[in-house]
Amino acid sequence: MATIPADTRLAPGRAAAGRLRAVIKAAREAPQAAVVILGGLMLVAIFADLIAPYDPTLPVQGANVFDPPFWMEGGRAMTLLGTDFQGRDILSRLIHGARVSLIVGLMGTLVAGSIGTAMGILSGYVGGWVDQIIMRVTDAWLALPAIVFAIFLAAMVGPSMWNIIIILGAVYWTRYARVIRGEVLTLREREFVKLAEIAGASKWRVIKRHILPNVMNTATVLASLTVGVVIIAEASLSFLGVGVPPPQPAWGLMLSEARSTLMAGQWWLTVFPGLCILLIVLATQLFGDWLRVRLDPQLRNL
Amino acid sequence: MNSWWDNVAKGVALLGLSIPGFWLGLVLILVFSVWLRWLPTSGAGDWRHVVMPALALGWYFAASMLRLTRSSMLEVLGSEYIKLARLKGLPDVVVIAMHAFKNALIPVFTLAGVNMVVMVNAAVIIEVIFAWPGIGRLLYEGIFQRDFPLVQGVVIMAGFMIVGINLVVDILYAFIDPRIRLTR
Repeated sequence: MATIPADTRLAPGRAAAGRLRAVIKAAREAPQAAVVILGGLMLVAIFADLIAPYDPTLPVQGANVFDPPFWMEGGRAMTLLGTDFQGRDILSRLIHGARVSLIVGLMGTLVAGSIGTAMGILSGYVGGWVDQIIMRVTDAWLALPAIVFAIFLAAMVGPSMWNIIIILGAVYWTRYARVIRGEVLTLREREFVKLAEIAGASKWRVIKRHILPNVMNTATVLASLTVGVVIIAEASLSFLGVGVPPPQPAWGLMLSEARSTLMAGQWWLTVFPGLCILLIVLATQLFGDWLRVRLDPQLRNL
Repeated sequence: MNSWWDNVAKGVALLGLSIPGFWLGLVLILVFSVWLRWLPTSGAGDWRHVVMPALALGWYFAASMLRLTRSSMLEVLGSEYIKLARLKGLPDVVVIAMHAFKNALIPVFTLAGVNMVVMVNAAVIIEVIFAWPGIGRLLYEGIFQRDFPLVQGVVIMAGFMIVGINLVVDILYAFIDPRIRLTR
């Protein structure tokens, strides 16, 4: 460890600056559309309270229910995208809905990724009966239809945003566990792991210093592909009435509320939230594809 | 590859994977039932009731299969036996339709099996939207009426369907690809 010549070691400040430069360089290469959409939505979500013209949970003063968007007859400039069945501003609800979708998408992916990666490493590195148990559990998990399972859990524990995050994390972790276990099985036989073991490193240290950093690329690629899936799953659950509870604005919930008046032809209630979901998932897909090619050539054909 | 047609296909696939099926269902109802009044909004009956649920359910899977077929075709077209077939002087149509496509179908076929399993999932929401009297909606109602024996029954049945589909796909493999012989 101490044999590295002093002059080749980077000063902490220079290392951080180098990393920052690498991030900026990577952001330049990433697909522009995806970065713009994701970055824009993130800003919208963070500053939702400042951007949104009205309170998303209360009817707009002076507006009617089912006001159409401003370019249609009867539409007004005060409610740009119209109002819903309670006279609430659609645009404000969409802006606040971005927050819900992004939080659930990112946190749900984080929960799924953490559980899955931990299980995968444990299963692959420890092996033996631990491996057997974890793999049989993932098999059983994969045999259950994911959305059905999530609906069932959500109906049991009751609707709330944080419950949904935990449920979706608990449903989608198996994918990580499988892939990462496979990766760890090959890593375990590599020389640097063997040498670390011979040098007397504890199992915990080997996992922390040698295994985990080497599976992070795969985990990141999987995560970027999971975000979109989790966002659609959240919208589905909210749509079915077991997700984010009203009056909180979530895109899936807005679609669900729009469904009861769909036959009356108030299309703006249905079209706008759906377009938002489409946009965010499209952006994560593009970004995930790019990340996959960049970080892990082996996963290219997945 | 890299022609305008390829770009269109890639675009369609990307869009297909990003559109939530249940939203597509709602938009279809809006267009074909509310505005054009061509198709009934919900329920089961003759073929007209099947069109929209099938489209809404199949959309995502069509996109994923398009993607896989594309990459699979590219891989097969680069292989030795395709070069040989071309060298023999076979016309392009024969090479692509008879030699390449058949072999490119193998991974697509696996995906079709996996997709059928995943469809059990997606079908719940589509059945709820179109009031289709299937097991998906049965399950949905069971959950909300706290009828847990019913829910357990449907979930176990779905599990059996998944295992069954996987088995059938494995067996059909041997018929499609003579290189694969299931040995113990």
